[in-house]
Order: sequence, then C-alpha cells, then structure tokens
Amino acid sequence: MNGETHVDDLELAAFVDGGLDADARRRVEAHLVECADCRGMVTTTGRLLAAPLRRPRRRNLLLGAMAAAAVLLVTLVPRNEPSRSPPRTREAEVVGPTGIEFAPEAPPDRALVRPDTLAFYWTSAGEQATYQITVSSEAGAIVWTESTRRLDLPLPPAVAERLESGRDYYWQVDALLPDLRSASTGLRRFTVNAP
Amino acid sequence: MPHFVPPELSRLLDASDAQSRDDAWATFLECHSRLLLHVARSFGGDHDAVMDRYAYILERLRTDDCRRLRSWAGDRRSKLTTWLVVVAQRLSLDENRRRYGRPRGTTADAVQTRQTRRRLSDLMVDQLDHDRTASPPEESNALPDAAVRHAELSRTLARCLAELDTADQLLLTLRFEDSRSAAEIAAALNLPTPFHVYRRLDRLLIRLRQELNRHGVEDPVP
Repeated sequence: MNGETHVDDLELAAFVDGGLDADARRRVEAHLVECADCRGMVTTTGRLLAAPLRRPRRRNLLLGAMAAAAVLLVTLVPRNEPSRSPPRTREAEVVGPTGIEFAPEAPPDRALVRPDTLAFYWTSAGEQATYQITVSSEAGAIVWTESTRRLDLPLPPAVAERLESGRDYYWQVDALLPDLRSASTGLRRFTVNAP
Repeated sequence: MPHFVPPELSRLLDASDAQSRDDAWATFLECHSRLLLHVARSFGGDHDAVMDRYAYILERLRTDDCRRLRSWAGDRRSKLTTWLVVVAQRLSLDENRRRYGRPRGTTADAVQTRQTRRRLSDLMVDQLDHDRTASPPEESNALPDAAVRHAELSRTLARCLAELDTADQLLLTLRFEDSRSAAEIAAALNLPTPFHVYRRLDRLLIRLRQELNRHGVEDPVP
C-alpha cells in the first residue's frame, strides 16, 4: 500500500486479478473491509472490465488524441490483426477490453432447446484462436467443458442425457489468441425442453 | 507467474526516438483507447467533460516517458487491462477534483456502519427465528427485553464477525454495507460466477448462525 491509507494501483489491480500472494491478499482484504474508497475502486474495476465496450465515434478519439498531443488516429483495428469481416449475427457483437470482436451465434440467449440436437455456434475471434466452451448448471457446477479450434460444437450425447428437463443451464465460450489476449461471450442461458 | 508485456506496450517502452515513440503510442491507443474512453465515460458528464477526462488520462499515461506504464511493466502481477482500468479511474478522480474540488467527508459514514450492522443483525434474527411464529413487530418491540436482546445479539455478532477471516469479512461488507450485487462481487473478488458468491454467502451465514448459537444466542426473543 502507499504511504497514506490506500491500496496503490499495482496492488489493487493485482488483487482484482488474483495476483497477490496469500499474505498480501489478506493485508489488502483487511484494508478493504475498512476503506470504502478502495472497496469502491475494486468493485467498479470489476464492473468496468465485465461490461462490453461500445464503439466510440471517430471524432471522439481524434479530439482526445489531439488534446493529449498524440498522433492522429486512423483506425480502431489493431494493425497486426488480419483483415476480417465477422459474420453478422443476431446477437450484439461484444468488443472486449482487448479489442477482440467475438460473439455467440446460437442458441439465442434464454432459448428453449432439445439436448439431443443442441449445438453451440460462435463467431471467430481471429486466426489461430482457441476456444473453451463451458456449460454449467444453475448452481454453478460445471456440466461440460471442452477446448476446440472450431467455431461450433455439438453437445455430446453423454452430456445431453444428464441434462434435466425444465432446468436452466448456462454456457459461455472463451477465446484465447496466440498473443494471449482473450475474450468471452459472457454467460448465456438455455432451458431444456421437456420431452 | 507475472503477466506478459503485450507487444504494443513493449514497443512503446523500447522506442528510442521521437518518431518511433509516436508510432508506438498510436499503436498502443489503437489497442486500449476504447477501454480508457469507457472508464472516462463511466464518471458521467457531458461529451466535453468526458473528452477532457479522456485526454487527461492519455496525457498522464504518457507523462515522464510513460513512467506509470513502466511501473506496471516492472510489476506485472495483474493484467495490463485491469491495471489500466484502475489507473484510469484514479486519474479521472484526480481530474474531477481539479475541476470541482475535493468532496467533503461527512459523518454519515458512522451512521452507515451502524445501519450495516443493524441490517446484518436483522438478517441473523430472521434466520434464528425462521421456524417460529413471530408476533407482529410492533408487539415484539413493545416487549421490554426485546431491545436488550437485540443489543446483545449485535455485540455477539460483532465478536463473531471479527473472528472471520478477511476474505469472508470483505464478502459480507460488499454485500451488506455496499449493497453490491452478486455479479459485482464476483467480478471484484475474481470469483467465476455470481452463483459462487451466493454459495459462499449462504455457507457463511449458516456458519455465523452456528457461531451465534455457540455464543449462547439461540432465539431472538426470550
């Protein structure tokens, strides 16, 4: 912590990311219990990181960059990514903090599904991305997880048999690029249709 | 294990002349300007106020040969994006203070702490009393011993809370003092989903009730 009474930026960010050792973590937790300011910073950081970013108007970025004596901004797309046109989806595209455009395609959020024909689809996060799909129950228990390079996966029959009719389940896909940037679709819900 | 330094940052920190620094800064902004603008926008205000805040954040990040960015590169216990969000918030607060002055503290904090303890002790009363047919609140409060019992419960509860580990105390503080949602708490404490928050809270409250029983608090009403 800094010389006064608050957790410094490096330690606070490390706390949010789980990067502190046990002693440091306990020390920061003890401070957070007593300090509403630092506590607010922690919760706001988590909320801001979890929220999808909206695309700013180009004029906003130009004004900001010029005001800070930065170089003229030409494009928002990182230069070293290959050109791409992700397919249009019914779901809103999510642009994560790392600038990766990535979204679920099917099933739609809160869909009623038959487990024996259920398959998951998502857009590409970039070349050489790896995807990890996780399906969990309402209680948060992981029902199935699998890693793939594809943009779709059917629910395995052995897993489909275990899903209970009328129950809600949650799924999300996490994308990881070779440069270790990552993005997530966030949690989506589906309900198993009664036979 | 320390997080790796993203290429757009290492290029910026290693740039040796003004032109390459400017190019590297532009690349860095391509990757992270949306996030920084997102934070600047979260502090509210009209378009001009947001852009002033955003410009201030960029200016301070670049100041002194990117001193702040170099400090992260030497630490790396967090992801760069997480640290950028923290720093951008701090800088936004600085900018707000410069513009509007420092907010004055109030004595409401002490009141809020008492209200928090009251909310948690009320919850404990409900949990201890859940099997009883309670008399209407007006009648209960009319009982002469009710206030004494409640004060005793609050003192015992405070002792039990102090015996919890810091992680559990923080969870209860976020939930009952700050009234944070499970989703916000999960994001703040690096828990996988809100369900994990609910389960931990549930187990914690059960344990608190058992501790209260152990300290001799069986029923909220004599």
